[in-house]
Amino acid sequence: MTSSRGHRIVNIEMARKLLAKAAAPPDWQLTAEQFQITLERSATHRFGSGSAAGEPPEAKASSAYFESLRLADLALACACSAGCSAAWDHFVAQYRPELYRAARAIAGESGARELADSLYAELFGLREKEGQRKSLFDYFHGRSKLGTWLRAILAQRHVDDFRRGRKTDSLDDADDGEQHNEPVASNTAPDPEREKYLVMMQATLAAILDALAPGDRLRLAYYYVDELTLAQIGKLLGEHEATVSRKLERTRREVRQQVEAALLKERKLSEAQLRLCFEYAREQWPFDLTLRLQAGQSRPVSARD
Amino acid sequence: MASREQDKAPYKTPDKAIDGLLRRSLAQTPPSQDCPAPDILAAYYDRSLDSQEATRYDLHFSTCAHCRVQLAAMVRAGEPEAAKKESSGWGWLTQRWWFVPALATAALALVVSVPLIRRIYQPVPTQQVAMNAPAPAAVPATGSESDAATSADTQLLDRARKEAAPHAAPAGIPEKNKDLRVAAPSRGEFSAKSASPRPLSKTQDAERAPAAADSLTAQSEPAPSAPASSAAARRAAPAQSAARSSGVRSSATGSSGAGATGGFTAQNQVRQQNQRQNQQSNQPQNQQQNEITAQVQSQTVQVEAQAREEREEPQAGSAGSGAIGGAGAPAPRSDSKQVTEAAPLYSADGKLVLRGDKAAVRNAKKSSILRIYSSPDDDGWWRLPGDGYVEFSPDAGEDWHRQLLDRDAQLLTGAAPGGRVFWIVGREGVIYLTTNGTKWKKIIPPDNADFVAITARDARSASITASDRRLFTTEDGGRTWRITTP
Repeated sequence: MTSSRGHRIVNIEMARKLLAKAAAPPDWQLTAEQFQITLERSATHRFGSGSAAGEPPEAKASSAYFESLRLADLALACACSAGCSAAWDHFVAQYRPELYRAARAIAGESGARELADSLYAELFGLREKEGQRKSLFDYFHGRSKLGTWLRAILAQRHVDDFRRGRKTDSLDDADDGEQHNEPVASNTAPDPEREKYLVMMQATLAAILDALAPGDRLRLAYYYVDELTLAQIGKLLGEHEATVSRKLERTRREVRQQVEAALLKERKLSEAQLRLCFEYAREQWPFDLTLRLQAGQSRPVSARD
Repeated sequence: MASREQDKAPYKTPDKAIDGLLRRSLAQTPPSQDCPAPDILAAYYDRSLDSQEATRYDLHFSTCAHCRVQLAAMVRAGEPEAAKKESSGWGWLTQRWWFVPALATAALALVVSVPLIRRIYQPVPTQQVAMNAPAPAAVPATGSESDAATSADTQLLDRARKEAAPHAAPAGIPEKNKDLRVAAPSRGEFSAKSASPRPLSKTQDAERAPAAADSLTAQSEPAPSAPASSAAARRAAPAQSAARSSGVRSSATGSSGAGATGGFTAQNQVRQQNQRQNQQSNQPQNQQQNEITAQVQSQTVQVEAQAREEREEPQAGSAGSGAIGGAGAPAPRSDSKQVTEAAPLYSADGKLVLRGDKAAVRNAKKSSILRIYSSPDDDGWWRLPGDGYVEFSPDAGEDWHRQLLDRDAQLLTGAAPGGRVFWIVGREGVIYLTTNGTKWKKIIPPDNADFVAITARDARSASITASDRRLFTTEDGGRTWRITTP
């Protein structure tokens, strides 16, 4: 298989060298030609859209890319895709428990089995296209660990299924927690300026959030919207838990200061009006994690959207 | 799974208004069209993307709730069992099948080891040490050649040295003879004797040390006219050393000093008699005392060494007590010089270093004061503890992660220009570079000189100074260097 531009990014010698480095067991019967096709597919996926038309990537870039691949996992995927039973046995022994455990963690006990089994079948290659067995392993390019890739697919499928409404629990149930959070109605007459203040605050805050650095915004989103723990956020961002905590604190403080400054200077609000803005915001959108934790966290948060 | 309630509170002061606003605003994001495929999500999760791609997808994920939900599901599903158990408190401990057997084993080990440790570390009776001091002259005296200083009680030893100054060890006392160890009498017997000491007869002595009586009494001239001081008796610890390694087991093993030290009464009385004799004599006592003191000190070290040897190799009849008579005493081992207790030693990271671990002690002393290299944005801290190690902290010093670069390398200094970039240089052309704090690249040096200083602007630009003041500069991350000779 050649790249879309008719060039071979990987020659057979390089494929042999990388196959040796992958240390695939002999009983997988994985040939250098098969591995070359897999490597070519991976490199095309990586460089295909970026490089100029008709031009292969630089040798240095492609060499660095191949060095960064998880060759052992890629060899396993390649052998499984080719239908090698020994490789498949190895995959089952090593990854099946992890697959089911991840499915349970993502979809809960009830949906885990179905989710994992459907993925299992596609990995084995029950689909056929143009007379050829198509395996999901063909979409693994070795840029990550095989286990991580399996979890990514499970997560994607679960979220897509959920959004398509295959789950039986109603989306409206997700709002019950918030409804319980609504404050008791005040005896005083509603302030006619309330809506105006709330809209003003939201607009100001949106502009400030758009100007945040992607990492800071990501950290806030993981914490406030996805409700991840500090350790989980640190895992995703490559930071220590304490660093996540420190940066969240700093970002929130800066956001608050910028919101206040914008409302005071640009919107010309007084101090009293500013305090009123925050009070209305607290009443309108209370932030109380405990109720949501009690309601359960197995569903994706985006169900609220 | 760890819950948010178990998180340390990220905020010192609650601010529900801004929190609620943030939550609402961040949730309202338009759907994105160019979401990446699972293999990119997985590579992002494993941090396998290059920096350019990672930045691009950081921006995408910061505004794409769909992708973030998938990443959140992955991280929740990806926590290893051990981490989940740890984060859920102590519950993980009791859910393991091995917990009960391990607990039982630990309890059994504790029951067995505590008495043993108590016996090992009980203080040495001063009288016994005094009696073991070698004699400059053949002054007849009894002496129990038990191995006194099996446990190093410094205060008792000092007092023993002082009290033993005029006392001469018995001459002709045979080398280590376990049979000579005196068994302790019963408590009552000792108490009576310490209260009103009287000369010990051969019979009484034999009662207390049936295996050793003959040798002792043959050499002794028991005529103690002075009471064995109760203070000395209290100080005298039970003869655990004798009881432990000899065939004569003390009936007061592990008991209080009263009963167990009765065996030293005879020795104490004889010693005091000799002391009085020396005091009455016109001998140059000072000189004699000095000699004795010096000998006692050296012999004490030897005795301790032998006792330590006995603890490790408790065969009967092992040589060692030559310290008593001075003849045939084995040379003290090197670690027997560590008689006194030193202050506890702590390594740079605050951990107690056991004195037996010489490598750790050496390293702890070297790294007692470590320089910390930090990037201007505090994104990474590093320090060089020595022996080819580098330590990295991603959180401003709260946690340190140690990595071994090269055990033979002498890393001298470094530079942290920003982010997680850190350069290290050292002797004999050593140059290391990291761009993420943990993965290191060894740079081919321009010369095998000792590099003693470095300044860096980023991961590509740096200047290193050799010990001969030559300056080497790179602009391409160490691939090529140009030299500037002063």
